[in-house]
Amino acid sequence: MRFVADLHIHSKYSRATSREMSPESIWKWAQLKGVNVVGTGDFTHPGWLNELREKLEPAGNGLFTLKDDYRTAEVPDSCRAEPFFLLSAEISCIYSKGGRTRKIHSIVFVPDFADAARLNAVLSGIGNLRADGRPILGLDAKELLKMVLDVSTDAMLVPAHAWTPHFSVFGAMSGFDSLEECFEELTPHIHAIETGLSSDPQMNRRLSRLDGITLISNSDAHSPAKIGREANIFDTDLSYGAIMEAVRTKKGLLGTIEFFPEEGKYHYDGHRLCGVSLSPRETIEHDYLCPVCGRRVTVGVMHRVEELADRQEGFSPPGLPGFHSLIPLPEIISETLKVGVNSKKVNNEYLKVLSSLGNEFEILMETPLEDIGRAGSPLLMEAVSRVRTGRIHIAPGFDGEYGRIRIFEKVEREEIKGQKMLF
Amino acid sequence: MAVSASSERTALRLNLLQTLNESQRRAATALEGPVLVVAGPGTGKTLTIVHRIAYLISRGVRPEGILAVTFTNRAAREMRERAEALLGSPRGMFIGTFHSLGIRILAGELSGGFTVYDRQEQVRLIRALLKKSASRPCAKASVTVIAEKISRAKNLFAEPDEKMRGLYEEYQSALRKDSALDFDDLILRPIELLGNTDTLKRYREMFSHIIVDEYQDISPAQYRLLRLLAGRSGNICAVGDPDQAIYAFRGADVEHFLGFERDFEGAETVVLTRNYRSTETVLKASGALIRNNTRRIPGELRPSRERGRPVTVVSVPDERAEGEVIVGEIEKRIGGTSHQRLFRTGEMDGHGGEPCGFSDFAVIFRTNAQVKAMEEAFAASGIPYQVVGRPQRLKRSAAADAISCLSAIADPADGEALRRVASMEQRGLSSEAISEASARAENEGLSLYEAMKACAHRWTGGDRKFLVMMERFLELKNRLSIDALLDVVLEESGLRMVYGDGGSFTPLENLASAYRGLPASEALAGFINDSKILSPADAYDPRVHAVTLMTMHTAKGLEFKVVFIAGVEDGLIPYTLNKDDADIEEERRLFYVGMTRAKDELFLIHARRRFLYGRRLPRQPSPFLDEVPEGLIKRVTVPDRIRREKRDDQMGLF
Repeated sequence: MRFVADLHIHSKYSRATSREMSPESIWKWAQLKGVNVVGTGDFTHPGWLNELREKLEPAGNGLFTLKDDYRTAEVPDSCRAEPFFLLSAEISCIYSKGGRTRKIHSIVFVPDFADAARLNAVLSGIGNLRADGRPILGLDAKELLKMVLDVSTDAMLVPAHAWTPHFSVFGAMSGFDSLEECFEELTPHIHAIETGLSSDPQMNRRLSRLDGITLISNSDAHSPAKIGREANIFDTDLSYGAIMEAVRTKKGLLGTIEFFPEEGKYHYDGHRLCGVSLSPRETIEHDYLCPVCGRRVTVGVMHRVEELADRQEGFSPPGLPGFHSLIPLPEIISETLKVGVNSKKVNNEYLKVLSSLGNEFEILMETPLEDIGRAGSPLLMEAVSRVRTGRIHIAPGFDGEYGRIRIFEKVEREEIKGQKMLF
Repeated sequence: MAVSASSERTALRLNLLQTLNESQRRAATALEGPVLVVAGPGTGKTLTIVHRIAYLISRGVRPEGILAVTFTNRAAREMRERAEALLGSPRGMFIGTFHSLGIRILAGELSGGFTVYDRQEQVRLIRALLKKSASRPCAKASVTVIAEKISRAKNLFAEPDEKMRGLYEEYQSALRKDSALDFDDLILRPIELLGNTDTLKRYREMFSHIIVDEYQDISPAQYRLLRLLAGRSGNICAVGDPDQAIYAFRGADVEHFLGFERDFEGAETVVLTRNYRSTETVLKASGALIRNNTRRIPGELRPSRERGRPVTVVSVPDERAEGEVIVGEIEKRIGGTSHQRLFRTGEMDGHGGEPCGFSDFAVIFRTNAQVKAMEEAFAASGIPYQVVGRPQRLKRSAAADAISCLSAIADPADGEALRRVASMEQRGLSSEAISEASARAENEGLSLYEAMKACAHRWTGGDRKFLVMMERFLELKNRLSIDALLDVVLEESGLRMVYGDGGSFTPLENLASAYRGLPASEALAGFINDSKILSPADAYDPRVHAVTLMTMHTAKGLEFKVVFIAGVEDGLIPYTLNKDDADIEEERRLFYVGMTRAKDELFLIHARRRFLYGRRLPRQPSPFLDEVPEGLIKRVTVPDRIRREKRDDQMGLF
């Protein structure tokens, strides 16, 4: 069957996350978003693991469902579905190798609580699992991989947001130039990488050495509304085993749902404190120094891909899963209403549209445009149409600053709304 | 092509010394007669010693004739590994601690076998004796204090004081009855045995060349043992640094070092002066401090590195701010540990200095009482850290469980060990099975193991499996070497699963690797005795990337890129709280040891108020800070907190 999975999120036990990241509200938002399988995140945290044990029950397929007692949140009828949970965690390895500091984040998946507990037992001897839902370990990422593989043959480790500058396997600041450099002889156990918000499959495919690697996409959500902003579309059995098999082999992975990479926080280079955004070429022209303050700029994802790529831009090898570039619906609504994305107005409109049309992914990818026009507004219809066909403007994100999206020029907006102003 | 042994030796000799500087070379090649090597911090002491060993062998000295004595198992292991790397293969020299030397001699001389009592077992024995005897020698003293007094008396090679004598004698006879020796006996008994002229002659012939590391810290008893083995003009090479003598409280006496030339006829002194570890600033600062001591060999270390950054002296409001400042500085140097941290500090590209991992940092303090506040700051930050010298309870019981397993395998009649194994949570016996077997052992006069076997026909499930497991271990004992057996035991007993692979067993495994290839059936008892003398300093595992928290005593011999000394306050440094007879020179040496651990950067932190021993007290900076020239120092003051929410912004120092 065809289903959408977002396998990397964080719970309320992680730093800088919303207190709303509880099993109950993850369950609710997965339905609003149209996510069928959602990662639990943070199973390394003993408090979260206990909460998961209490509130979830095994569905018999290596996935979990929310117990009936906890299904208290209101979900519009149009979005009702049965979301499954998959045990996931993210671990930050900070260590030195080859004379440099390495900071690598990895996602880990396990099929049951026993494996999670076993891995936690091993890791608790190495670092502090209680301080943060995404623990910091002073451990070589390769050693972590070894431990994960030792814990269970069903467990899998996937390098997280593989390109972000500070905390990833290919990151410009503290990553490596290849998977082999990082994982050495265990590299064959790396089957997939997570592309992260600032890169899309097309960029990744410019590295021929990643041809054998599956590209997956997840939201890394820190609040419920961010769930599903990136995700994977599978067409396989709804089970832990089948999902992992698809991640290993690409068979059964139809494709991914992506941000426009420009919207990601590290697409371009730059220096956030000085408000300087640079394209890779400009960075090289400025000798990697901020033209305002003279400090080193943060080298972004596009630059890094450029550095490691052996293929021209635009190349796409045949036979690999495809992808959809989308903008989250609340952001689109915010653009049409010209108010902040976290405003009450956007939220009301969002819920209104969802109630009459169905979950967010349906609206973004499938719902006939006329229906959107009817349920929302002509402006929203046009906006979704433009997102679907990529006719949008984005000022690229840099150095931790999200990219800025513009779907309409000011004049266009007025025209579409059919409200000619008097002046 | 065959190469003759002598030409191989010549080749080795020629290449060997090229990496040494002039004084190191002298220290490595002065083979005849007594030699004193004064080796300050970072002067390449171990390098020199291992070259001396290799040079001895290249000159045709029998490897078995070389005796190298160290203070910790860690030092012994490092020395052995580096000597073997230099020589290209393991040889038969004896490299070990005083305790393992003692075990070696005793194993050769005592026919009946013996057991080593570690500190815990010693305390248990004393407690039992106190219960039995009507009179308590010193009513107020705790059992641990009594154990320390006994130990100190033995180390000083002195009679115990009058009040203790009765208990001391009971204690000694109880040990004799159990054929047990405490740690101190591992030195004293060999001294007694070497009182026999024939025995002494044999050992003097056996060990033609002796090297002693950390000579400044030897106790009178250890000195006596060395004197016996070396003779008055023998080939003894004593290496150490009187400025780092910090074990007076255990009965060590720096006078042995200072008096070496007097003690050993025709002794030559070689001083290693070039320091390869620290920046010029760290060296000058620590050198200026230690110059104020009188009981030392005058001299100064010469830097070989750049000037480096100034020593940062930080004044903080209290111990909480102290921890936060340290955490903040580490995060800056690592370049942030999370995006949130990056944003807060605005430090996106690290510190500009050399890149670091967590293991490049150490926090050093004078007393264990300071560790709790420091741990809180680290626990809250999520930065991985390890407290060295005070093994976490988990680690201790992990190793103790493993040793119990091995003891039960070595001797299934060892009921105490078997009981501990049987009561392990994973794969142990049910409590009913344990009590059933215990009762049967009691009633029928069987050993616990025999009783278990007798009961087993009625057991099922896990209880049954336990016995199968024990039987398998006993069978494997005859087929496997110790390291292989340990591996199987850790795995199949579930210990590895319970305690994880986080280094809990590392010291044991390291020790087992020294026994590689020896059949378990023969060497197990020796291994178990050895495992009990693993000292706390051996818990340090450099493979775990974690910030190290430790006392100055445990810091000796280690080095870190960035060192924070916490609590540089009067009363703590020098330590005079709860103590009226502080030895100021020893305290200065301790601070010196702390400072000289730093390679690149040194932070000296003092709080203006501190919660210590149950009281919040205003604090003054350490008087030792005045001994560090102002020109080498950069002073930073973290103001008192005004509003809590401001706190985060105040933590960045620069």
